[in-house]
Amino acid sequence: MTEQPSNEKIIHDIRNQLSGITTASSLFLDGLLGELTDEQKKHVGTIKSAAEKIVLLLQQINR
Amino acid sequence: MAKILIVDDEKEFVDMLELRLTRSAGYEVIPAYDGEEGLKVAQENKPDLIILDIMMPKMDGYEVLKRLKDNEGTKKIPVIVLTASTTPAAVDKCIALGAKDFIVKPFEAPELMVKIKKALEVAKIKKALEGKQT
Repeated sequence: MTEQPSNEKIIHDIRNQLSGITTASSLFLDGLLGELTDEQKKHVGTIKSAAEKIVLLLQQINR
Repeated sequence: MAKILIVDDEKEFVDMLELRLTRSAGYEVIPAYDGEEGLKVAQENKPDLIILDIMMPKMDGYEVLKRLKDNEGTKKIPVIVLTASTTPAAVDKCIALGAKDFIVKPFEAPELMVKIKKALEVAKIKKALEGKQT
C-alpha cells in the first residue's frame, strides 16, 4: 500500500505551488514581463490575492 | 554585478526567480536543480550568495548547507534559505548550520531583494575587513 504523505508534507507542497502563483503574478504586476493594461493588472492582482488568502487559510490549519 | 546561485528542484520557480533577480536588480544567476548539483556548482563557481531550498532530491538543503560550511572554499558564502518548510525546527536547524537568513514560500519579492542586498553588503564588508587584517 502506498504510504500517505504527512499533513506537514502536504502543506509544504501546497505552499510551493502557491509560491509559483504569487511569484509569477508579481513578475506581471511589477512589469518585468512587459507593461500590463489596468484591466490586466486588476485580474492578475486578483490571482495573487486569492493565493495569499489560501496561505492565510493554511496558517489556520497549521495552528 | 554579484553572482547568485539558486538551488531549487522546482524548475519553473527557479526560472521565475532568475528573471526577477536579473531583470529587476541585474544580478548574474546560476541555476541548479538538486542538492548535489548545487553543491558542485557552488564549489566550482564560488558565487557571491546562495539561495537554497530544503526539500530536494539527491541531497537535501540541510546537507548542502552543512557541506558548504565545512568546505574552506565555500564556507564564507552567505546562504539564504528559501523554503516552503515552516516549522520552527526547520528555521532553527538552518540557522544552526550557518544560514544567513530564512524566507518562507510564498514570499514577497521586496523582502527577498532586501535580504539579498543586505547579505551581499555584509559579506563585502567582512571581506574588506579581512583584507585589512592580513
